Amino acid sequence: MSAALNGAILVSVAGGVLSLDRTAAFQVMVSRPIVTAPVIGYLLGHPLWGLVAGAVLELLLIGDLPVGRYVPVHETALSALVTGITIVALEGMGAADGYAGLKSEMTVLPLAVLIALPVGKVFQKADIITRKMNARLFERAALSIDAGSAVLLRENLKGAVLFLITNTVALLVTAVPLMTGAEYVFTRFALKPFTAAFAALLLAGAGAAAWSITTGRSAYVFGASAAVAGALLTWLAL
Amino acid sequence: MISAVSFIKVFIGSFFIQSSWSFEKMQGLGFASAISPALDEIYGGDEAQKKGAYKRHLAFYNAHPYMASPVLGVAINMEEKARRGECAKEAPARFKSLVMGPYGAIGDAFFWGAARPLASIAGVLATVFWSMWGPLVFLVVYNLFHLLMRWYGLKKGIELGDGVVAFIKSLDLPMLGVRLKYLSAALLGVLCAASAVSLLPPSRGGAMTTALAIAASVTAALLSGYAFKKGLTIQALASIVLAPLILYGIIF
Repeated sequence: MSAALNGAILVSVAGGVLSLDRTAAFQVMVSRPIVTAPVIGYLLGHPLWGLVAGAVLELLLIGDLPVGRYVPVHETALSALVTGITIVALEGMGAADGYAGLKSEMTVLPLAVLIALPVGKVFQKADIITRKMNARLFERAALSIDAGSAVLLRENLKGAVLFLITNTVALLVTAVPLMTGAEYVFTRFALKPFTAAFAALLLAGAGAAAWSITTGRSAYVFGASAAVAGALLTWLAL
Repeated sequence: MISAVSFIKVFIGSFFIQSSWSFEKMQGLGFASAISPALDEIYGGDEAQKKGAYKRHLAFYNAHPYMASPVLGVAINMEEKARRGECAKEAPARFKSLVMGPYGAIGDAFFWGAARPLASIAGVLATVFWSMWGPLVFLVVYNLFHLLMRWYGLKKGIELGDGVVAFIKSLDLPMLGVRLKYLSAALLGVLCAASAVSLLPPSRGGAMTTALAIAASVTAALLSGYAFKKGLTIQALASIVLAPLILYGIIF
């Protein structure tokens, strides 16, 4: 079995488990990109690369909120997939590990985001299917409620199991072809260092974050704080 | 009052309130499952009353998941009163249907709209300065708000009954949310400046170049923020900006 295939299976299982936190259990936010991506990176042997991917995705997906019946972008699966593709590609290119490989990551990460974003629809669909299937659990609990509270607990937890299965399967279906494909391509064609797309991605993330916190005069606070911090950091760096 | 063991069971159950989330009944089964240990204690061996209580709570319910904790507490308080004949059996269900809409809106605006962006920006900023501590900073900042609401919401709900409405009002979450957004905006400004300085340090291009990079990044962030506000999706932005840039990078 190739390293990419092993990695894809690991990404799918870990991503599926972390996805539970998104809706089904806990909601302590270990499912957010800033946590999920470094965890996936750690499992694949490159936590720092995962951290960079997670930080960028966290900003980019900050404003997509699960309000009412709306099912937002599946940020957990997306960050697991982006991290998986990025790491496999960087390994394929023979990038140096840790900080030395960050310039290569800045080249690859935007491409991984561009590939994974349309695939995100698969995760959204899987989420919607699970939520539809969960309606049966409610009916079953209502029918056998005379059996006591154990029925309520059991049927409720079955919902979490359903979320786990559908998320893991959706990740397997997408991660296996994309990660093995990335391994195949990047062991043959290495990209030249190019950081402009990464800078654009970072700025888009800052824009998404700015939009999500817009209130009253927040734009002035943002600008003023950037000016003061910029002056201070430049003075310190000189 | 329910025992500490039942309290802990309900508290743990509140973390699974969305496990069986469905479009029809939303958190209905999760709510019934979370409150069931308390109902078991309140009604003890009175099977008929207990089953009646299960059925009352196995109904449509939807609010913000963290704001379910004070509602769970009030429902437990009212079930205890109903058991003693001090209020109608329908009172908990009536209370749930009255507050779930407003509490859903308050929770969405505060936790999703203000606390999470603050934690995210603080986490990313911590990543820029302290690398691997970033995710931890994110988790600590966010869960400070989250776990306090889960624990005290449930506790105060059980203690105060429907008086918890006044307690939640006294927290003034909408105003606190606005303050958190200003704090987030300030941190985002620092993040933009720090990113510009680290990508284009003054030692490389001089102080003026760095200053221009900071100004450009703030302007670009505000412009893309405005574009998001006007309905631009992340997918569309990626296709419009990233695809041509990546293509340029590959070709040249």
